[in-house]
Amino acid sequence: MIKNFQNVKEMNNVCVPARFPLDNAATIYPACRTRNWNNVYRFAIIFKDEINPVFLQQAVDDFYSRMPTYFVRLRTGAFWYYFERIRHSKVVVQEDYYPCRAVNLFSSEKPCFRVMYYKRRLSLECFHGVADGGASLIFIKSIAARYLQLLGHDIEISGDLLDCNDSFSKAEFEDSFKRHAVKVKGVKRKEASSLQYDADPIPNYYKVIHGLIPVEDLKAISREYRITITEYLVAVLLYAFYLDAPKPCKKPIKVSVPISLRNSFESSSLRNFSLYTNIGFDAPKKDDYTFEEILEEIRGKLREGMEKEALLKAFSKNVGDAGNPFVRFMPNAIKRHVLNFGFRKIGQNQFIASITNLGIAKMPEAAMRYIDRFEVLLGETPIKHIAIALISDGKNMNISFTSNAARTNVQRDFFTFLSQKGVKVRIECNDKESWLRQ
Amino acid sequence: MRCLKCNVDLGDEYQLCPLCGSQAADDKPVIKGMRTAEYPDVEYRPYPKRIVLGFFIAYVLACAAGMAADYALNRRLGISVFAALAMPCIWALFIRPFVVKKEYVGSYLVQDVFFLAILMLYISKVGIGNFSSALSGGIPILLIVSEITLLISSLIERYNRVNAIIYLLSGAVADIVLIVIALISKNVSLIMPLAALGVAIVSLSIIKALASKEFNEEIKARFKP
Repeated sequence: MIKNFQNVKEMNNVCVPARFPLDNAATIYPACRTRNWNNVYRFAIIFKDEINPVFLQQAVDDFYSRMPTYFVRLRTGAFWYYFERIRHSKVVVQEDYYPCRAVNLFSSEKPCFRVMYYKRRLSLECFHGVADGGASLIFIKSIAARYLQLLGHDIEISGDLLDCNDSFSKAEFEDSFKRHAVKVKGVKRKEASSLQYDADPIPNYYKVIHGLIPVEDLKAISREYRITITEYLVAVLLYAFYLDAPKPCKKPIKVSVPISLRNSFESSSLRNFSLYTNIGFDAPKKDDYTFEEILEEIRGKLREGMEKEALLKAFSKNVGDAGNPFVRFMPNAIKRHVLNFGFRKIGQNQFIASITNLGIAKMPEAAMRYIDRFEVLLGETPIKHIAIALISDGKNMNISFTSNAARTNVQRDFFTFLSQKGVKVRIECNDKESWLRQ
Repeated sequence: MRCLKCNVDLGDEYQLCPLCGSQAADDKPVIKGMRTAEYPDVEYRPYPKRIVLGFFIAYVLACAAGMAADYALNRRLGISVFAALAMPCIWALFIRPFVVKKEYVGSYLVQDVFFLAILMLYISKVGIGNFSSALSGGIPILLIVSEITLLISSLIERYNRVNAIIYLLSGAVADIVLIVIALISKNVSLIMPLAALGVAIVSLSIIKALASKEFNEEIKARFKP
């Protein structure tokens, strides 16, 4: 039986207040939303059997008190947006449309995330302002573990899984950016703008192409070049964009790589705690690049971008800017448009697409017996029409391209390049009929 | 199934390769033991934005054409302006309430009051020759009705209080604006605007007395930078 909070006083009895401010990284997301779009990403777990929605709803219900920062709606203050906790409601629905469509952020009945099921797929779609991928991966894995428990399987809650009977802690609620930020001076954000992906977006359309690849194959090929799998796939992606770009290429080609700060800084936060670094190569410098040359150009750049010192400087600058009295006291109605302008005209111009690697999604061995694989999808933005997300279960890497355009040149170049190198690839798509319609 | 052109495995359900569009070959997949995780069949729905925008543009053009014809024939703007103002009122009062949820009652009340106030101002100007009757009677009565509605909705449903506080504060500001207008233009009566302000203050006091903490937190959350 779910205990609904009846008033603010009851809500405040746990460590999360009824209303609380957005964390430092989340402030941009409500500001840059449009009428039909907000930044939503998806995690999915493919089970071996079809999903039982009754048990799934019960599993999500059990986390209502455990994950209070998820059961929230967005509200508009005079100076900033803030979250308000909402009463419990049924959030599990059957999937019936394309993934990552906008979430109703301001509804007093539904939270800023949704849980969906379709046959074997359990999906969690979450507004990025609520939490980052690292936190949501923990959430969906915990829901899956609880769901399997409710089905009668003996699943031990271990590792980073959350027990729905535990209480939410203050450490999970903290804005870790603020805790770790230091005073910095002279940090510049300005970067050369990148080439942009040329596509005709189809409104309210979302094409997903999954590439399933054995991890062993990727390990072997990246070992050849003495780099990590992420670095190798970033290089392949840059090469695919380079092949697709008009020649001569007049701008650098850079991709944005989100980095979870939980690996570098101590944090148990279940909110946003990640940052981006842009990696690429100066395409106009040379007439014709080979894959190996691109690889040499980006070698070590990702590691440089992931160094603790560089990350600390970058997010300390963000925290410092947000704390500036001029920014803090600017009315929200104006601030929203300033942030939106910065997001569209500056931030989004610095890279051609995002590629995120969530690493290995670990679940207890007993749970993995019922799970086929994991998926992660990044939502496209009004400007970026393609995004790439990687996740692995230890055996297979699931590379998911998401796009709101019909053309698939980059996806084709990316996967055929890998298959030419001897990597085994299996392709799945959410819109099998798209070629028949063209 | 496999795509021989891209050299990739495909599920058994695929006729065409999702990457290149070529015909899938009936070959055995290289990666063994994989099952396709199906997505639902989706009927593509474009945003209704364009349809709404089309209607809006058509409406504005029709109003503009009506006004131009009215002015050309009669040298005054009469029935066409009334029609232009009446359309949003019909939409706000008779159509939208049936398609909205109760959680938005406050925001729709505010919009309805706004549309109706403009209509009242226009009718008073055309019918009486000045705005006094709307400013001293119609609009304050409208505000009083909406303030009482907000109070009742917040008494019935605890969760509506947070919105009611903000809308009542907005109503109080509108009442003050009416009082200032009445003070400036001497032919407008002060009684009804003052009564509307009184209702707003009493309503806010009742909510504060019933839920002092919620009241304080809502104000703090909304206005704290």
